[in-house]
Amino acid sequence: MIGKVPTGIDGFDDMVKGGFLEKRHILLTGGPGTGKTTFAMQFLYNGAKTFKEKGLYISLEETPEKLLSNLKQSLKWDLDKHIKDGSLVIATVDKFDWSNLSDILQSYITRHGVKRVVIDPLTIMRMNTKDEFEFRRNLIGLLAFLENLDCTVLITAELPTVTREATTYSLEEFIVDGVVVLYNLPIKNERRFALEVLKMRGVNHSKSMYPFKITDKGIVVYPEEII
Amino acid sequence: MDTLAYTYDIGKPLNIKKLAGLKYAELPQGTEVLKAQFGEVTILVFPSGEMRAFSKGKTFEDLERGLMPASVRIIQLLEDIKKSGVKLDPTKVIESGKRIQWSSAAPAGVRKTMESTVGLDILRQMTYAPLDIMSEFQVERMLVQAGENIGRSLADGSLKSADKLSEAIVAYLKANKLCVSSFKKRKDPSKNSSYDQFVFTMSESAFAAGIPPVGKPMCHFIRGLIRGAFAKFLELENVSVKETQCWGLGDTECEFVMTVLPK
Ligand SMILES: Nc1ncnc2c1ncn2[C@@H]1O[C@H](COP(=O)(O)OP(=O)(O)O)[C@@H](O)[C@H]1O
Ligand SMILES: [Mg+2]
Repeated sequence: MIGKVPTGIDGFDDMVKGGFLEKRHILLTGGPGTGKTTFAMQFLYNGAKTFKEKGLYISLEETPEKLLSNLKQSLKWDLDKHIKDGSLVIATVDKFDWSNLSDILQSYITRHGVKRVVIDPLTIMRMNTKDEFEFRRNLIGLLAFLENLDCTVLITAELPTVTREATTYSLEEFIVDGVVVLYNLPIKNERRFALEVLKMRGVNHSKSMYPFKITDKGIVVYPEEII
Repeated sequence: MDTLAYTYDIGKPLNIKKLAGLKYAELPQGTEVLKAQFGEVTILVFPSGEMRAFSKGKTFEDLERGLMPASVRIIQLLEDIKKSGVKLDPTKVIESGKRIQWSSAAPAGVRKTMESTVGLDILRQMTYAPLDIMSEFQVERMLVQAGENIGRSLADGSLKSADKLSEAIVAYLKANKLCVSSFKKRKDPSKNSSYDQFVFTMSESAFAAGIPPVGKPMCHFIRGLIRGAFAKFLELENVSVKETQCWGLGDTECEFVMTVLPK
């Protein structure tokens, strides 16, 4: 029986029967501004606060400092408390160097007991890798390596498309254990957030698309509602 | 990874020969290590003052259960060591007990007549033979982990500056015949960082000297060693060490640049 790693995100854990599976790799994908960063940080914040698991956030787009100040603007989470006691780490790496990304991950996981890892967004590593072959080799290598370690990994990827029908799938979707897609849908005169679980190996997950909101407490999913 | 033994620190070097007269102890051939046998519990005493207790062939849980009787044996042995003229506090030694790690260096005395260095062929095989049976990615991770373990042990807290740490790295690499190296310090050119960059230049790398140009740097162990040393010394994991020159890249020297990444 494989253990569950609850995200603590209201409504979402129900969709995946209690949480992600331990030691698995989940891809969180969506267009810009669909809530990937918020979701990913909430996974770590709840991990530290509620489930007493150490989290590591590798921030590739923004410096840790800037990411933190952005999050503090819109969310009422006491991130500082967890950063101070070491249960939440926001780190950066050399974005052009897979070896450095791996060195730092390896060190935090094997020497500091990190159990939840976020890499946000992987898209930056792809942009900085010289060709697709190198990108694949490194990504497959990294995921196979992380599989042997005691941690659950959430990777975000920027999707250019925003509609459900036009989504194209790339390597990432195939080699991870789970894919969660976030949308920001134009509905009448406004936009509404929605998400779906595209795949989750080993879990009889919900197959529908559900609306979610972002409040100052973070993401709340409404699995009762239909979009 | 934990092994099944406990280790204790007597805190001072011991004259093992002088202790070899104890009736329950012996000095196995090829070592300068005192071996004391108390029923199931074996205790090894190293000249460095390290003492190890274990039950041969037992699981870790067995040893934990046997630890109380083991402590009694250790106290007896410590009392005898005391009688031989070594000043020590048996309770303090017992309190220092912890599970031994693979990563602890082989204590002096385990190899009586051989030097602490082994042949280059062996090192090359152990570095490159794994490429036949696992991915390059895995092999790199393995070497980095080993290097980091050593690097971290070099940053032992008594060092007062990054310069002193770099000197210790250079000295370690030389003493272990891994390479001839030197370092220089420079301002971090990319941003207004408050940390300097350290650049290590190495020739005769045990890992790389003479290897064909494979299009990538290959001294992952040394990179890990430098990264581990700085990460531990600075108490900061956001350290990047990049191998910018290597035989693997077509150079005849290796170069490593240590940068502290932005906050
Ligand atoms: N507390 C909040 N209340 C309402 N909207 C918010 C709040 N926090 C963030 N948002 C909105 O959520 C969107 C998603 O942000 P983010 O998680 O950074 O998305 P992504 O990482 O996918 O680009 C942003 O456009 C932001 O305006
Ligand atoms: Mg984002």
